[in-house]
Formats: sequence, C-alpha cells, structure tokens
Amino acid sequence: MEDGQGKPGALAGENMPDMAETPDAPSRKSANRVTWRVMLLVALLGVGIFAVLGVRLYEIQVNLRGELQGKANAQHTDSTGIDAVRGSIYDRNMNLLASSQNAETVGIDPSNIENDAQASLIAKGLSEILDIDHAVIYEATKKQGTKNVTVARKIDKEKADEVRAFIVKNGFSRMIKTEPDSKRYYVYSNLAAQVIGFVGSDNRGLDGLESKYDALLTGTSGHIVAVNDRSGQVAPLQYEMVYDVSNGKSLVLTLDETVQRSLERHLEMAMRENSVQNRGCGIVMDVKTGAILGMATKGDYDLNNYQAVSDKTALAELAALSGEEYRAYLAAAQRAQWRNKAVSDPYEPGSTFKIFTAAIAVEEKAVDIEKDIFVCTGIVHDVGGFDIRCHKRNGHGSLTFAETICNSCNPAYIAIGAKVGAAKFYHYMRAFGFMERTGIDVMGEASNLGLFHTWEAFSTQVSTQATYAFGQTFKITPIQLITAVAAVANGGYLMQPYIVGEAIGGNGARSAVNTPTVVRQVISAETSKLMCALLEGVVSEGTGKNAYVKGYRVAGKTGTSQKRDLWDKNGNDISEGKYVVSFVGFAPADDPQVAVLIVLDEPGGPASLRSGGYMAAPVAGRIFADVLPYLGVAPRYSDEELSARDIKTPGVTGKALSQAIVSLTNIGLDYKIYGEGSVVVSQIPVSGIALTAASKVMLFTEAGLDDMEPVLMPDLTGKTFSQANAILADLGLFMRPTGAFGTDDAALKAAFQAVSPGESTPFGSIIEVEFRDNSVDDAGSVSGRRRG
Amino acid sequence: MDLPYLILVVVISVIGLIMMFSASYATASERFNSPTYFFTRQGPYLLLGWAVMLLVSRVNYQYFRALSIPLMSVAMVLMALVPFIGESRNNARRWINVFGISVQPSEIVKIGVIVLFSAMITAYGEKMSTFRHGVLPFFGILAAVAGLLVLQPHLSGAVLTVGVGAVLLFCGGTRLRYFAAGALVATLGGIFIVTTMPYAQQRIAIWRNPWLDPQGKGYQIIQSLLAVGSGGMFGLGLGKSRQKLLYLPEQHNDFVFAIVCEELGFVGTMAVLTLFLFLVLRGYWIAARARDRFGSLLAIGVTSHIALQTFLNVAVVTNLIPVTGISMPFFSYGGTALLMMLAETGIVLAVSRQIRLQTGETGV
Repeated sequence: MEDGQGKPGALAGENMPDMAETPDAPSRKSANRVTWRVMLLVALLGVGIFAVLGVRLYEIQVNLRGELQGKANAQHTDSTGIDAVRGSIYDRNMNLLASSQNAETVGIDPSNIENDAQASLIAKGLSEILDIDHAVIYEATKKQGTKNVTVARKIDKEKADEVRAFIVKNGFSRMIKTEPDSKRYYVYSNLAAQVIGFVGSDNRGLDGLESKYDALLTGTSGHIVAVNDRSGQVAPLQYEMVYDVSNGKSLVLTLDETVQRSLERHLEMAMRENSVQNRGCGIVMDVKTGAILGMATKGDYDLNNYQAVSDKTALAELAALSGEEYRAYLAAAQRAQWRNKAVSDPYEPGSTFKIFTAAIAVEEKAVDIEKDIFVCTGIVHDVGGFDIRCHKRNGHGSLTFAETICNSCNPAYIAIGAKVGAAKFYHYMRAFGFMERTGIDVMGEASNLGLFHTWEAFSTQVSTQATYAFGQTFKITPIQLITAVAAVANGGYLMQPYIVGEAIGGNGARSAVNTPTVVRQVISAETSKLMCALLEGVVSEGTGKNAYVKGYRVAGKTGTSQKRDLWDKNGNDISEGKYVVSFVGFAPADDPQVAVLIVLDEPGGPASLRSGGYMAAPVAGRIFADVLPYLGVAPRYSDEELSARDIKTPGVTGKALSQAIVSLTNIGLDYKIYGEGSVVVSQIPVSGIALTAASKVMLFTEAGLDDMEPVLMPDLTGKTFSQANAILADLGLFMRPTGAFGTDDAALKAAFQAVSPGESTPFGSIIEVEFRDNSVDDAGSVSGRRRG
Repeated sequence: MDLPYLILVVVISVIGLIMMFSASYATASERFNSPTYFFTRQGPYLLLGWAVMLLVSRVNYQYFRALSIPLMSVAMVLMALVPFIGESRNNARRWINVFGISVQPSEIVKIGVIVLFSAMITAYGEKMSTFRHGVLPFFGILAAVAGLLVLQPHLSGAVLTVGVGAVLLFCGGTRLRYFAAGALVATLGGIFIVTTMPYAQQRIAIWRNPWLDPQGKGYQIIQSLLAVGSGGMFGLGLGKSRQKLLYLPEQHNDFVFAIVCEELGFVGTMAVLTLFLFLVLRGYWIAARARDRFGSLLAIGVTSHIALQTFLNVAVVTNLIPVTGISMPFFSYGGTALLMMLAETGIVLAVSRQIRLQTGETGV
C-alpha cells in the first residue's frame, strides 16, 4: 500500500501538491482517487486472490497429487487391498512351472487392543497356533501409530482357520485380522531354478524371470475403498468403490520341460562322474530362432525353499560357523547357488572358439580349403616372444584344413589366424557378438567388456593374436558362445536369444513378448554349410566322437581351456591344473535345428581324461539322443550304422523252431537254442525289445529252462566294444551300446554302464553301455614360457 | 434487480448445499445414524435465506442508513452477552440461543459493520481524509468488535471483520498513511506474538510442516491436504470422497471445500471458484454503477466480505495460511452464517435495483 501512495498525486500532475492532503480539495480529485482505489480492490480481491488460490490448488492437486493420493490410499485401504494374482510361468507346451496359490497373512491392529491382558492373551494364542516366539507377537501388540502389524505371512488355510477360531472364541475381530495372500509354488522344485528365479515375502520377484518380468507378472492390485472408515470398522454406509484388480500376465517360455529335464539329468550326472568343482552349465537352443529350449546350472537349489543352501560342502562349512562369519558365508553360498552360470560367468572358450577362427578364414577366403597344408611339430616357437605347445606333444604332422579342426591343432590355428589377419579377426569377434551382451531376457547376463583385449592391445601383440585363434586369453559367456555357434550353423544369422515367447492376459489373450530377431548376418550361407560339414567331421572322426548319436548327424567342437587367473588370498596363482572343459554342437548337420553347449568348470578325475572331448561331449551326445527324437527329427542311418542298428525282437514263442530261426535271421538277429524240443516255448527277450543287430535271442524249447538265476554285473570299464559284448553274452545279458561309435574297436572304451558292477540283474537283461573314445585330448596350451 | 448476480448466488448456494450434503454424509451416518442429518437442517435455512434475500432486495436501501445504528447496537449487545450466556462448542463460545435458535452474533456483526461503516463514510464525505473522522471512530468500533471476538475466541472472525472494515475505509477515502501505520503496528504485533508466544511458534511450525505431528496438531491439515491432493485433475467424482469417511474432521464445516477439491478435482474446483470470481466481479460491477456512494459502499462491503472469507477458507484448506476456524461462504454447514450471507447478497441486489442506466460517472 505504501508503494502506491504517490500514485494519486502522480496522476494529478507532478508539480501539484497531493490533493488528498487538502481537506477541501475539489470532489473531482477525491472521486478520482477513490475510483483508483476501487480498481485496485477489484484487481486484488476480484482477481488476485483467485489467481493465488488457483496456483495453490494446481500445485497440490496436480503436482503433489501422486504423493498425497498415495498417502490417502494408504490410510483408506489399510486392510482392504485386493492383491492381483501373480501370473504363472509355463513351458512352451503349457506345462505349469510356477504358479501362485492362496495363502493367508495374519496381522494385528495394536490400536484396538484395549489392555495388557488382551495383549498377553493374543501373544499366547497366536504364538501357539503360528509357532512364533511369544515375545515377537507381544511386541507387535505394543506398536504405536499403526493399524496393522503383520505377524505371519503365507500360512496355509488350516492355520488360518485356527486363528479365526481363536478370534471368534475371544471376540478379537478388531484386534486380529487374517487376510488373503498368496504363495509362490514351483512345480518342479529345482528345474531351471536359476532361470525361473523366485519371489520374496512381498510376492515381488527377486531373481530370474520372476524379477526380470516382475511388472508383467505382478499386475495391478486393486482395492475396495470406503468399506473402512477411520475407526477401522465397516462404515454404516452403502458405499464402496472398487478399484479393479488387474491380474498379472502369465509367461509362456520357449523352454521345454522335457528338454530341460534331459539337460539337467545328464549335466548332473556329468558333474558327479567328473567331480566338477566349480559348477557346470548347459544351454539348448533352437538354432534357427535363438529361442532357448533348455538352460541349466548345477548345483542348483530348490525354488520352493530358495534360501536353503543345497551344496553339501557349503552346508558342512556352515555347520562349523556362527555369528557374522556364518551370515557372510551363508549369503555367499546363496548368491553362488542363485547365479545363472550360463549367462553370468564368462570363461575362456578354448578350442570351441576354433569354430569361429575357421569360419572367418573360410568366409574371408584366407585359406585354400582343398590345397593348404598345415604342419604341426607340437610346438610353435617365438610367437611374439612365447613358445606355444600343441596338446599333441609330438605334433600332428601335416594336416588339411578339415583335419586341423578335427584334431583341434593349436599350431595350425595360430597359422590360420595369422592368415586371416588381426584386423579382420577382431572385426569378426565383434560381428559374432563376442563384444556385447546378447540381450537375452534372463536375469544377470554379464558383460565381458574388459575381459578381452582392446584393439590397441590386440593389434600390437602377436602372441595375443595367436592365442585368440584357439580361444584363449579372453573370456566370453556361455550364452554368447552358443548364440554365435547357432549363427555358424543356421546360415550365418546371429539371433538375439530369448526365453519368454508369449504372455497370456487375464482373458486368455496371448501376445508375443519376443519374436525371433536377427541381429546381423555374420557369415554367408555357403560358409555356414561348409562349417556344418567340417564340424560334423569333428564328431564323426575327430575330438568330438563321444558326442556321436546313432542315426543323427551331430556336428560340434570340443574345448578344454586352462584357467589362468585364479588367485588365493595371498595373491598366489592357483590356476595350475584347473581347466574348463566344454562341448558345443548342433544337429542335424545337414539341417541344423538344435544346438547344445555343455560347460564343466574345474573337473577332477585323472588329468589325462580332463578334456571337453571326454567329459563334455558325451553329455551333449546323450542330450541329442533324448532331444532330437522328441523334437520329431527322424533318424537316418548310414550303411555302417544300419549294421549296428537296433532291431525289435519278433514274437516267436509258440512257433516251430525252424520257423522262429528264419524270422530272426531275416531281420538281422542271431539266436541261441536251449533245450531239445522243436517248438519255442519261451524267448528272451520277449517280443518288441530293441536289440543291437546280430544279438543272440535265446529260444527255449523246453519249459522251465528260462527260469535262470540273476546275474552279477561285471565291471566293463575300459573294455572295448567287442570285449564288453562278449562278456555280457557269456553271462546271458544283452548289450545296448550308446555313445561313441566307430570301426576302430580298440579306440572305443566302455565308460559307463547302466547297471553298476556287483549289482545283480535278471538273466537276459539288456544293459546299456556307453562307449567313449578317450583319444580325444585337445587341451589348449598357452603355458608356453617366455623365451629367455 | 441484477439477474446475473441473483443467478450466481442461487447456483453457488445450491452447489454449496449439495457439496455440504456429500461431505457430511459419513459423519451424519456415524453420529446421528442418518446420512441426511445435516442436509435436512441446512436445506430449510437455504430456502429461508433465499426468502430473506429477496425480501431485503425489495427494501429501498436508503433506509439502511437509519437502520445501521440499531442493527449494530443489537449485534454488539448479543456479542457482549456471548461470553456469559453463549453455548460452548470446541472450546469456543460463539453461539447464543435466541428463542430456541442458535445464532452466531459474529455473523450479524459483520453486516452491522458493513452497513454502519457505509453510512458513516457517506456521511463524513470529504472529512474521511482527516484522522478524527476517517480513522478514530472506525478504529474504535473495530477495536470493540475485534476485542469481543477475540474473547470468544474467534480470531478468524476478528481478522475478517477488521479486513472488511479496512476495505471500506480504503474505498471511503481514509488516507494511506494511516493504513501504513496500521499495517506497521499489525506487523510489529505479529512479530512480537510470534517471538514471545511458544503456542504461536508451534502453530507456525505445524503450518510449515504438518507432518511434524501427523496424529496430533498436524492431523486436520494433513487430512485436508490428502483430500485436496487426492482430487487430482478431475476428482474422484461427486459423492466419492474417501477422506470424508471420518478421516477429515469438520468435513462438512470449515473443511467442506477440501471435499469439494477431492470429489471435483482441480477442474471442478476451479469451476466453482470461477463462479465465486464472477459473483465478486459482478458485485464490484454493481458497486461501480450504484446510484449513490452509500449503495456503492454497501456493495463493496458485502462483495469484499465474500471475497475475503472465500480466500481465507480456501487458503486454510490448502495450508496457504495456518489453520483457523473460518467457514466457506454458501458451502459450510451453519444456519446463521448462510442466512446472513444471503441477507448480505440481498443488500447488493437492493443496490442493483437503483442502478443508473446510463454509464458514466461512478457513484463513489
């Protein structure tokens, strides 16, 4: 107001005295002055205050709305929220993997507890029913400033019924409340544990897909407003406002439960057989789409009890600890078992990486596939100052390009890498996706940034270029490797791998979450075709023999890489003698459909057998044997395979002996006659059992002869194919060979038998025996020393 | 009679009754087991108020000059009686029982001040620029009124009455230096009170951050803010307030506007305030065209009363100023207040009847 004081005077003219000062000023001036005052009033009270209120209301109602409404909702919906039902997780055939089941939560409203006697009674009653410490509940009854203290979560209906009975009996309906909640249930406990992940007590995803797709799975919870008024009672109003629940969507994975089960079973067996120290993982991928059919890491954990440590060594260690040490060790053990090794742990790929060195050389026409000869003397001297050895100490001699990959010869690959040249090699490293995350939609994909050399370092270090060519001195993740292998197999297309195919909404409507996405074409279709043929050679003739599956053309590559960067607490290198063995393959080689990667980290066992070819390839072979027929890939036998194919026994019981012999020999089976009769009264095996060609079916011509004593199983380990067959036949058992296959009988050794030595087995049983070629050593060797 | 003004008053008072009904629904159910308890008691007052408004509008307002002194006298007598025979509610004696009806003398005294000041200013004319005429008598009356109001205690009523009186003096020609002096004294007094009284400091602290005492002194304003904020842009819908479910105290009374904000949202609230804006502007428009200075001052007084009270109420609801008990014109529950407010609008309508048809010189 004081500011305006001069204005009436100013209006009247600068040199004139303020008329207001003169009592008998002309009324004209006075009227002017007052008119001005009214105008100011109109501006101030007529417009100004409304503008101020408008701004203030905008601030509160629009800018602060979220915060204030949240607080308001919190006090209104204290106990009337309706949680959205969390979506389920299905495999690609709609087999249920994870779902939420009804459970209940028990809460206390301390503000309605009238006295200490009630508090004590509540504490006593609830602690007995819920098996919770008395003091915990008593403390909850004393909490101030809250209307709901949760004392138990995820209890089942029977317990909740007991609580309700307790409430009714004592008239505690305003002090104790039970509310619907839900509990996550994982149908197959540990199946694909690290992939699926788990939810916390608040039903929010904490790990795996549960976390990655939490928003989609959770949905939007609803609430009923105004049923409760401030006093926490049902208001005497026919008034309610329901905010609809929008239930979470369900996920349909590309994962196939059958494939996953096969992967996990064989991986777990390999872990045990080879005393793997640092977990193992495997991935099964649809080569053409990048869809994940199976992904497993062992040791794993029970999703329904995710906090329980499942590793026996860790459990034993834990039992000896207490206090802070216990907590720290427990947390570390939990983190370890939750970790999805297949995407989270970069490793040195070793010889599996030769697939790419070869593919790059072919694509860039750096080698003459027909004519180039690579000579291996067992050592390459002075590679940027280092000597690098081949795993075959006395050398492979002269090799064609195809033979270099079959034999996984390091010196040859150093030469091939050199022919490609550093710049092109590095370019393709990037193109194959080894310098970026694949972008797969599982939790915890690690970046290997910093685990390979920069271009500056790579281009100047000849030794690094050499070791890269056979897959050492840099690290990639398993998912990066199999994704790039799929590109080599599928015509050159690097796909973005994914595991969630579709989402299903509440109304059953399906929507795509991921569709096959080509990141880029890395190599040509011709190169891809040639690589398929070369890699098939690795399995049929080379280091990958143990991945062989009868009737299927499996292609692949083994890898055995030295670990180089393990340090103990004192900074000493403890990598010596530690390896990662792996196998990556795909099938069928002429029309690749499925790729499998098996990585075993730090296997034990005899040093001579620590190789991807011996340890990892058979795992992949077993998985291919399960998965290919399951996926509808029909077997096609070569002539060689036909002679050893499975033949179903015909039913010859009741037939004349001569007739029976004809029907057996006609289909390629042999026979052995027991008794003197002329009619077959019984046979072993019975009709419809698959036997290897030339197996001897036992024909009994007199009753009672087939009632033979059970047989004690001999140890076949190390026996050749023909030796094992002979031993079993002598005992009256049949052999069904699996695993490596070949004409060189001496090279195949029985490595695994379905019935353990010493166990008794019925006469005439069919014993599965897995053969392996143990001449498949392919260890990479970077341990060349600096030349002095 | 000015039809736009009449329509605005009717529309606003109807909206006010509906919103009061909506806001009081839960409390009425809870306390009186009848959702319409407050509605059925306020409704008749609205009808009566409209009748009074129309009646007053038909009176030749020139008679109010003579009526002003007896009106003010009665009001002051009642005010003086309140501390002795008044009904006490919420730690304040503001109501007095006259023939079985609770009335608030403070509501009557506001009309008294408006009419009396208008008459006095008109009578003093040019002498308003002197201290003896322009300040002294008015100051004396306001001091007496304010003193009695503070005794009740009804601080906000005192502030409002002094504010309306000051507006009339401002338009009446009292010299600015006296306003400046008054403002200085008020500021110093305010500073003195704030620095010496812990109670005042506490209120200011709560005003600045209500969440210091969310269950106690900050509770009401927090609940009000939650209601206002919950409204968002378009509101929860008529009748759908949740804060009125016993969360927000006085939700049908001083805080009825918070429920308006919650149910109608920013857009609806601004629509309601725009109606008030039109009412105020139309009031000043009538003042500017009044036949004489007295009429003009009457219209200014009533209009400024509505404007100031609306502002103070909404400012409290939105925590723009510390909480004080001030009702929302036409919206808050309370028979006397509604009746007096409608009577005041009747005075404006009476003035509008004698508007000179030609534009030109104003009557002020």
